[in-house]
Amino acid sequence: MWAILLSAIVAIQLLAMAKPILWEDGSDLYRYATKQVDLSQAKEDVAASSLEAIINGTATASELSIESEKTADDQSRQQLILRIDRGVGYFLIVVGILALFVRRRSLVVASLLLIVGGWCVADSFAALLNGGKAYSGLTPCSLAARSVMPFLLALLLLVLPKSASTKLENGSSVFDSLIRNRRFLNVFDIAARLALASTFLVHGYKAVQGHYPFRDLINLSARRIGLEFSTDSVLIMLKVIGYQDILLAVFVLITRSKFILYWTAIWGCVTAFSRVTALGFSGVDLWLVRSANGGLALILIALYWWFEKRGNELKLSQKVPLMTYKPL
Amino acid sequence: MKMKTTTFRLLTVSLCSIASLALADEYGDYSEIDLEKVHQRITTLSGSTPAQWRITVKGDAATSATVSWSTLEPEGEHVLYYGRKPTGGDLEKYDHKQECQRSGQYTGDSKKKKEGEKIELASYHHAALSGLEPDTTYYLTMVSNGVASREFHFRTAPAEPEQLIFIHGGDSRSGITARSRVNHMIAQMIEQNPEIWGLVHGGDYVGSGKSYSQWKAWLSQHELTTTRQNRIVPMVVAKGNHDGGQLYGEVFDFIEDGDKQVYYYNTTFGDLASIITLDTNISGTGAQEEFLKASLEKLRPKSKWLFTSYHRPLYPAVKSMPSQKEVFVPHFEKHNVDIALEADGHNIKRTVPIRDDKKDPTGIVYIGEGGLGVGQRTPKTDRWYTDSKEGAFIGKGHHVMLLTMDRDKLQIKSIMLTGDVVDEYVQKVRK
Ligand SMILES: [Fe+2]
Repeated sequence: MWAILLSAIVAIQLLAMAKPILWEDGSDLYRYATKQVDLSQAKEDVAASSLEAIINGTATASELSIESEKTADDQSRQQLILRIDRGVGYFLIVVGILALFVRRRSLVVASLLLIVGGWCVADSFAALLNGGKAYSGLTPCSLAARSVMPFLLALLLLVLPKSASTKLENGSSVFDSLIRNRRFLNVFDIAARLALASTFLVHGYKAVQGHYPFRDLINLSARRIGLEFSTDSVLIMLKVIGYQDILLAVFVLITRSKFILYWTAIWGCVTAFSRVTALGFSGVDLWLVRSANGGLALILIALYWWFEKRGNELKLSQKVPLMTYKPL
Repeated sequence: MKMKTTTFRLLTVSLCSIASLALADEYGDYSEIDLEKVHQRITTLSGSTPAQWRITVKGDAATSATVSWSTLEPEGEHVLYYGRKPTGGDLEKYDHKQECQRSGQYTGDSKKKKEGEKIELASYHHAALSGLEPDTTYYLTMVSNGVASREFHFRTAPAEPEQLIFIHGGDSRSGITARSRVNHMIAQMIEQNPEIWGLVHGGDYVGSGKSYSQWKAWLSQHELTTTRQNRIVPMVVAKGNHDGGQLYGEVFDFIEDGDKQVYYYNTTFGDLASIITLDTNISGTGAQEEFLKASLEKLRPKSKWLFTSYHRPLYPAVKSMPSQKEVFVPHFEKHNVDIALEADGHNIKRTVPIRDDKKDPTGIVYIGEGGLGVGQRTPKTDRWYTDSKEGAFIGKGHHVMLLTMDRDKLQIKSIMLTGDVVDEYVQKVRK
């Protein structure tokens, strides 16, 4: 159940991530790479320091040549980067679909997912370097929930039994073998909670600061049901929402409370879905790409539920000391 | 004999003017121009020498303008001398004198580089002028701590213009060499056609708005838009997503309103045209939406041509739509904005006229998206509003857009740095 949820969310997320790459302005990594090629082609460093010298009067224009040459090489490099980015887009789709169907140990799919996860992290750092967005410096942290998903699924696919026939006593599912795998459960649980908390913390911080897109999301969504809020009340709402996000992040980190997780899941889904209520159809991919924000909490709930239920059924709780893995 | 010479002279003069008229439609190729010569025109930023001059207009273009400059040293009085007659720099002979209302040191980079690489921060000086005579050339000399600039001039717009021409562009945030070339081209275009009033900039001046050294380069390069006859081209500025931080307000003299700077405002050209400048870096709703509604209500009835100018494209050729689209577009459509000036996408774009998210001859044309230096992106060909079969235009390359309007029609030309006119579009005034 939790594993199916995990793979479904990974699939949805990867498909939604492919959309801007294939149909919009590409990934942040693409923008970063093309800009670097542009800058190196324009010899931006040399140009900037020469210009600085001219402005400061430490050199005259005639002493410094700041010329750029366009080479066919640069053009083809740009083409190559574009092709790679497109390739990544299709790759995300393929891995997303694969993620849906693999239900046993698969080194191949796991490594594909690890590559995708690495790419997600790198892309969020590229967004940080590209800048130009409010709080772009926090992108890697705000997208942590999204980035951790492929890693979690990869981890799962690495520890699953090789074939579905491996079963525990009175077990019925291939996943039952995992219930004894405390190391896996711990790593999975901690990684998921860290990422979830990080995403909520950053979103909370932005909301407290009155991040403008959030204000538009509230206003536009309210407008659909005929409500109109003053700027002040929107800012108060965002403060409340923001502090709530921060509190949720803290509780997700220090407890395994199901109540907190339900709250986090609902809130994560609501905020992600606000893209649709505010922007309509064009917000659908923005919503889906945020599936992990609520989804990760849902996965944890399902995981804890499964652990308790199957644990009891398999009478594991007595046999296996669950010192480090203990749902509250 | 004397008569003959006079006739000959007259003939030559008229021939020349005919030739220059014909030339007015042709643009030089500045893509390969020798930058050494261009950069020789940059004023050294040292001592109290006024440098990095620029003029911005946020209001009535016929009667107001803000003249700004920088000096390395902050000391002394900073005064603008100006008047309707050139004085050759004789300060006594100017009709008016305006002390700078605002001066201060530019805010430094947030991140300090290595020790010893500390950049000396220059200071800004803003002289806001009002009550100017319409349709008038003003001559001016900037004086800081007793050091005078050379004499410059600029033109106010007519009170009731029959014609208005301005250049629109955006995104000069990287590509330092290309930026110099485009600025040089703008100066050349104005020399060639002195009827051009000014430059509407769609934002993203620099890559990092908090970087003083980047603004410093931009400001000095902006001097290159000044013609060789020392005419300064006024600007209507919009804030880009890369222009965050204090410096944007310091460079373009945005005054604090309460604890916040407000970057949206109106620029008017009598009853011929108005530009509503918006800020896509803040919430589209709230105070900005109120401002937009009030501006549209006030300006639409009295303007033959109504423009909106802002950074992030609402109908983008590359990117996805921003959240402000849902806020702004219904107001634009309700009040029949004519042209929306956009930037940020790094390409050349002219959409089909759009209303209700459909092509509609009564709709709004969205143009942009910035090519004043920045590397260009490949626009998407599969979006309905940029479909060339439907009459839209998309392309890429460093460029400016030249908008020429009178009381009947508006012409938009996309002019490349190579001088090629890649798109030409004419629109009739709304009934
Ligand atoms: Fe931009």
